[in-house]
Amino acid sequence: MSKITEVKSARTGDMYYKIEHDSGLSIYLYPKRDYNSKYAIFGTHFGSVNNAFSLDGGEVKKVPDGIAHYLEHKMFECEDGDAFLKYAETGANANAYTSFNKTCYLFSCTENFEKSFDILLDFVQRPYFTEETVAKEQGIIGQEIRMYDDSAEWVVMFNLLKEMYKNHPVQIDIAGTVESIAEITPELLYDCYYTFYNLNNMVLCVSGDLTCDDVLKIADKKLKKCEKHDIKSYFEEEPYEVCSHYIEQSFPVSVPLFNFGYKEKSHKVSQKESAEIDIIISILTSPSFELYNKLDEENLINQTFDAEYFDGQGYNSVIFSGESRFPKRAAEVIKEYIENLKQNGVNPEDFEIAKREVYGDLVSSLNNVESIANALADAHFNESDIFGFIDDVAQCSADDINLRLKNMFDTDNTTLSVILPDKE
Amino acid sequence: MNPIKQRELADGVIFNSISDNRFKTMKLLTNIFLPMSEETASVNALLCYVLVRCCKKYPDMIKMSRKLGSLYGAEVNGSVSKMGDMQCIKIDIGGLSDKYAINNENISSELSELLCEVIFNPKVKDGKFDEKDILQEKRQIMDMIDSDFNDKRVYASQRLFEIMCADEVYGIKWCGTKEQIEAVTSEQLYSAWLNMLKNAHFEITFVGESNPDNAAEIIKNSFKEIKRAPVDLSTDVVYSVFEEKDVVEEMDVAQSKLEIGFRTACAEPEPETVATRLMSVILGGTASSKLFNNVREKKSLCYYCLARYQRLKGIMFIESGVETANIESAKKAILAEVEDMKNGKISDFEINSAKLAIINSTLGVSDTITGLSGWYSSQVMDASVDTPEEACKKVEAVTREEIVNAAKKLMLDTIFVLKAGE
Repeated sequence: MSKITEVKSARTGDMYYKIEHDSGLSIYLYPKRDYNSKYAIFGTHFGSVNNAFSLDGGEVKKVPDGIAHYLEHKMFECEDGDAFLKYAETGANANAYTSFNKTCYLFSCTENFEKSFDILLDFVQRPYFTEETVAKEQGIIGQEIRMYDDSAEWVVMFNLLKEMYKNHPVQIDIAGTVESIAEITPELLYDCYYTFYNLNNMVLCVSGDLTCDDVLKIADKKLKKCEKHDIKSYFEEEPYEVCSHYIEQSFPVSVPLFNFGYKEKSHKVSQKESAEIDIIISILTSPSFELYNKLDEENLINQTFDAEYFDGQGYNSVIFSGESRFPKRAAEVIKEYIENLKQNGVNPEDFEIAKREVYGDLVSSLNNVESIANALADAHFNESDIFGFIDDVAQCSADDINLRLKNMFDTDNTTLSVILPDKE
Repeated sequence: MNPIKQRELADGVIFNSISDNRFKTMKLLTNIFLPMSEETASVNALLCYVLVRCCKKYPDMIKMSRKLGSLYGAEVNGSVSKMGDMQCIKIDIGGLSDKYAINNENISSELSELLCEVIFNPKVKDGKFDEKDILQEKRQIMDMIDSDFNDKRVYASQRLFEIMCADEVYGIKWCGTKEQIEAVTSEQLYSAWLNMLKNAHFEITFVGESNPDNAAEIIKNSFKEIKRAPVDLSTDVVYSVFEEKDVVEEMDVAQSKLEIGFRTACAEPEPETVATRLMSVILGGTASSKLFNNVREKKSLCYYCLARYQRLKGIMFIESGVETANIESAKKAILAEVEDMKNGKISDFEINSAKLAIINSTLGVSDTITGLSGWYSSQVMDASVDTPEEACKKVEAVTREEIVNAAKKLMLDTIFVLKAGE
């Protein structure tokens, strides 16, 4: 029998079920009463960075860059037809994506949930690759890569990552290159599939007006029990220091873009730490506070200004991004401000407002079945809990923030990446 | 969810309210409609952003933002778009429902008042808006115009409409040109504000669990002193193509973009828009559509290839990103799919899956605050206002014959190619 646990949140009045299914899969169900929309996401902890791995202590396999994303595309092709065409009979809106750390298959629907859920569990567990079908995808993914080659936002980020990371595969484009994907074979896809698409390495999250029975009725039938294996990913040792402090490239754009990153020592981020970081990022990017206003008044940023904490297996950093006519000056102002903040600590009133902003955002995100299920999947892979996270934000103190700040933002370990308009 | 309630608070000021206790937030969305014109596009666009930046009570960005932040990250947002030949200034305010306030604040009533401060009580002095605020918001809009060029997909589709609708009001950009933005004076902005209060059509939608009466009352009072003369909402639809246009622009990019525009000879408030929309979804609206299956999956010509219908203006456009060497074969393949539609080569599977896809997404509208408020405000120019369920019934009832008839009316108008170096 599968083990079902109820997880409740007094603060939001919501709850979800965590089901440890016999097959080895972790399933989450977040009921939303009186919603028409239903959403399911089935993900594996396999992303673009996992390009060297071993199974049960066996030999380390190195696979071509972009293979996780290629595998995602090819999963839709089944022996008995295309999964998109099966979904077409239910009306569900289906999609999939690959990130640095995970590959996810998802659908949203209002009608025919059972049929669509059946399709999802079926095709993700039934790989089917042939020489011919694998070759066909080269053209489509080739055009996807070309589309990103023209995206200044994409290029400015990967230029940054290349200058921040010497060895870590996070600097490599998620889709790989036209050359690297040419090396992909059905055998390599099967290797990756049978390593990472083990149900013990996956998560299934569902949200909508549904009961555990609705979910288990199909899960019990479709999920094939998996033996647990020891999967290990290998990363070359990464130096603490960034490779260089500055990179620029010209591009056919009319407003320059920048990414400004602080590289940190790689470590696993706890839930409490993550809550503190969210509040710090709000203080550094919200128009409610000094830094945003200073940058705005000096015409150094516009409303695209933002920052994110960028972390995963073997890499951690804070990345500021936006459009700026004067990116070097913007980076200087950010650096100076953060140095001062580290020395003097946060203003208690600022802290209180920033905390409320983060708290309001988190509670609002529980409105939507998609954002709920996505957050549950992320939390599962990060070994955290979405309700615990909201509590950690609500309970955070200014002292916690000041302490956290001391361990972040090494001014000597930054990289600025800039995209400049082509000269006429 | 309770049904929508509609009342008129002043001449041409419609207040819609939907009481719904499923959400953790509330929202007040104001859509302000003014006729699009060469002379007023930029001043109205700028007005929107200056209004949401700050107001008399919270006279700079930081004070405004801190007020919202202390209300648990509430937000005021402004945006400007085109709806048919009307310019739509959208100002919305939203935040947590009162019961999630940690310190029991009455968030919804504070936000209703704040929305009125933004619209009716801006930071003006001696018939002028603040010069510094104007300068900052001009800079933001000019950056937005520039950043449209940064994204080649957005740029290519904008070029299509500029070329296709060069002689129509619809060809004007949502904010006019950079030069026009630059030239706006604080006095002009002030008269544009007065004009908006007097002449615009207002469509205000409240979604949330608290009582909307309070918000309605505050807004009604704010309009009391204003002598209203609201404009009509209308759009010119073009029913013929005088001359097909074919424009190629070269640029140093990796991927070429192909944009094809058609006149559909069918627009709101004609009832056939339902069939025309279904036709466009069968052609290129889903992953089971003709374009996705035949041009992407079978021919591996592209990563994206889709069709969209603009029912207010009677235009359908197709867009794709392709290798330069494949531009002609992609164009041929796409137009062949359009011919198949006209000749009735459509399977039952294609019709049914498109209907299901539309129904599924339409019924989902009522599950998000944005979807729900947007659903009703997007129908102001339609013949009748439908609930999502009513709209689904209309889609279900469309026949094969009606779909083919809609396809037969398609007239190729403009092809725009953004050509990458080979």
